[in-house]
Amino acid sequence: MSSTTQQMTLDQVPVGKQVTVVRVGGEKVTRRRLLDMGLVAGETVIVQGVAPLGDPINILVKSYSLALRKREACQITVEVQV
Amino acid sequence: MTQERNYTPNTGGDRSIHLVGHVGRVVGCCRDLLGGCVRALAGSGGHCCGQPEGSVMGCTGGSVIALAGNPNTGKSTIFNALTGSHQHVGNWPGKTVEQKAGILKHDGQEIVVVDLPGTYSLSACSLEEQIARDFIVKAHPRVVVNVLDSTNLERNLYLTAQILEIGVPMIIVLNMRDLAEARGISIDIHRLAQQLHNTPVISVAASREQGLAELKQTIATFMTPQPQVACRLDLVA
Repeated sequence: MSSTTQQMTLDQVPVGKQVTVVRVGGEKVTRRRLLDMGLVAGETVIVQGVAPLGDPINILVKSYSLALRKREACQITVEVQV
Repeated sequence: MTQERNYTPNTGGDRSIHLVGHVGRVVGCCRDLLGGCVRALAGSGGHCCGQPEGSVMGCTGGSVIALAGNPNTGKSTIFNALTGSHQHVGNWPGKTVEQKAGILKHDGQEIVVVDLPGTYSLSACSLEEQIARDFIVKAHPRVVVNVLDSTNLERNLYLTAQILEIGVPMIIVLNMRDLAEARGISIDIHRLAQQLHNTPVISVAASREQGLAELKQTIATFMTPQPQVACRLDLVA
């Protein structure tokens, strides 16, 4: 059976998983900043780690590490291969 | 000053006057907005780089260059290396919140170097980014020295592309060459220069003072009088 994809928000992605960004939402200023930093639709990111209380999370995007708060991560829709 | 006026082309003469005014205005307005901590610097009897207030503006004559780039790419380190000042340098983004000016002396020329706050793009969302954007877009520096982190080129080149688009003269500085080498990253600077419309690309390690002589040399080429014929024709057309 061919692989299917599943959409979820970035804060729900398990550590070590590689995902593709589908949509970046959120407040205008935050969204603008995230887009400027390279977090755009179609970009591949890897979730590198999650802090003990689940916030913040560390992702690898354009080969650099970026830490996001949960409330920012939950505005980012990603696609996961399952 | 008269001498410097002489080698600015016709259009440049007016521009330099506008520029001097603008430097003053931007510094003034961010002081007002940032309040306490910056006013404390102003109150210490001089410009924040240790130059007496006014002296930086007084000797410009249009030979102004700006250091721009993503946060934490080493703009202030390069600023200090060029101007010999001791600007506070820290290994965290968001350290420079207002523009700072210093003077680079090269071959008897005095060039004003403006250290801008780091920005990811020209579509500014925060005050520091707005300061950086306004300076690049409105103040017409003679050349923008775009400082890039060699270990993180892809993200850094986004701003480079935006500066290219607005058509400001630019020098690209690939900083942290030593770190990139340590991580096994090698960059073909000639190819990069080609792809960026033959913008000069210089690889430096500012903290180790490598490549700075070449940078100064390249900056100087933007200061010398250039036969601006093509440029003037553009302006006429």
